[in-house]
Amino acid sequence: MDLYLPIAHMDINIAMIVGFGLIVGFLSGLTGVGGGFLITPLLIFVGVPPLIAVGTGAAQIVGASAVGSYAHWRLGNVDMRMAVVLLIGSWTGGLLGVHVAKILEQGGHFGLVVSFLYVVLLGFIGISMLIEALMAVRGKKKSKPVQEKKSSWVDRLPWQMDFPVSGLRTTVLLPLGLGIAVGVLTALMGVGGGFVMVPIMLYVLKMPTKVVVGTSLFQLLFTTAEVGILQAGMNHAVDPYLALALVIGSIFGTQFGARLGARMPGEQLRLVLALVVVAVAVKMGLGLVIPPEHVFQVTQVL
Amino acid sequence: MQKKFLQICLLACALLLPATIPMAAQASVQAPNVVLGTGTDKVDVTSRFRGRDILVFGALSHPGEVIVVLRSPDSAVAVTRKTQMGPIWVTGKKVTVSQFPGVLLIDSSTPLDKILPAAERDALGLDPRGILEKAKYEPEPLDKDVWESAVIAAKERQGTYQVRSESVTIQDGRLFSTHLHLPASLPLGAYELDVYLVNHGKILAQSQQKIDVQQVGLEEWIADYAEHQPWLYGVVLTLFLAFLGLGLGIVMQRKS
Repeated sequence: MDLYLPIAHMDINIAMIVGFGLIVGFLSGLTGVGGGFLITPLLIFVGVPPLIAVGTGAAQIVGASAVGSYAHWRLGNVDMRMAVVLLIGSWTGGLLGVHVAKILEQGGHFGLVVSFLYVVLLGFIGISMLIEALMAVRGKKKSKPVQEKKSSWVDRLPWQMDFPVSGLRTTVLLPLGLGIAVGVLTALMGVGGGFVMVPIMLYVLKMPTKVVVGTSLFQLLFTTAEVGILQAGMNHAVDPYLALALVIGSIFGTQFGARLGARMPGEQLRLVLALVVVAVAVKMGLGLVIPPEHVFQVTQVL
Repeated sequence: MQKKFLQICLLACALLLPATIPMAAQASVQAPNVVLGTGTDKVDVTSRFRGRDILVFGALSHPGEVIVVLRSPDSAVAVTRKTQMGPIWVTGKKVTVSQFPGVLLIDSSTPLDKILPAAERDALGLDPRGILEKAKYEPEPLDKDVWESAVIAAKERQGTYQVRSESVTIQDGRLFSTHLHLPASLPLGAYELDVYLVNHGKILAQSQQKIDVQQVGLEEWIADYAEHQPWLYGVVLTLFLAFLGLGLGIVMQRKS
């Protein structure tokens, strides 16, 4: 079913977009890894202008992560103090990132920058997931970096603060910086940033796993909401039909994925996801080196 | 159905035209005249819009060739040129081209260069090259003609610029008709439809009509809202997505 998108100003098969949401939601439900970093490249591959793909990608995460955040908040898995510190950072980063996106778009460079970022980021995530999954499938136990002693440089940073829910005392600077980085990533790539946030919270901040999952989900819900509003307000870059189709697809996909995932071996699933991520990175990378069909690109100015 | 409609319209023209000609003839020499009609004077762009054909028909007082032109209001495009930097294709120079029609559909009964001299075609805005030469380039590139060609080529690919010779059919030297094909994505506004009756390199008569291309329904409302109230639109949409996600998620979990 073809629909004319009122913001992207193009025709698209809306069933295909719901399908994207289903597939990415399904993978996300199976493996527990958020799928924002797959949605934006898929939209770009089918011809959605990069800025709208990024803006809409961020907005759809609001819908996709709302129920999970709510559930973790009800269960008391959200370290509110940590979330507020992270959000101060990520809202600043988001504001910064949306401005940068606007400037890049005006210069005509946004599409290129997004492709670059995706090749680097997905390449990195995909390969590290691949290595981890291959090792796990071969039966080797993951060598968990269990360090009883905190890394000392974190301790020596100023502005130490107590985080009772996580049961730790650490500097405010680290989550603040992490928040800024996540906010910029959300604005420039349309991702939630869980893949950056979760490892740092686990291994550097040493928060308990349960609290990490709840807090990261909670903070990315509010970060993507801020970025979604900014992208709509400043850049006219959020298409309502695309966002709606993606949210509906991903919610159903996540449910099916989660039910199936409980009965399937996790290592193989992670291997599949790793291969998908690497494939998307390769396709993005090829787009940068393959000579374009048309050297001149002509787009309507509205 | 459209065929029948066309027949009725042509019949009506054929009946009307002889009635007008004697009156004109009484006033000394008969003035050349062209009567223009269309299948529609309004094009509604909805979310299901996939382009459409517009029937254009009419009657001629004198024998000759016919040119039908549909022109949209002026619009602007951003043109970027990709250049190779090492192995990577990067976005190079960007030029904004404005003050030229976004849509230009030209149908004629005979190739244009056989019926009108070049200067005349250019003056009437029937030559895409001439139109792009007069457009505004910001910033003005040194190799302007390359950019002109790029815009024309892109417009032809999109179907927003179409020059179709021999697409207008003339019956009995009196009645003409053609179907203009509007592409799926097109600028909105009041389009101008012109018909020229040409003989021996001269324009004998012309007639004009407006066709409104407008967004309608929910899409118009959304596009309008997002354009004029972008912040409110952003807040409402984001809240809506959050509650949709929450609601759907909770319902799905209850079911399981």
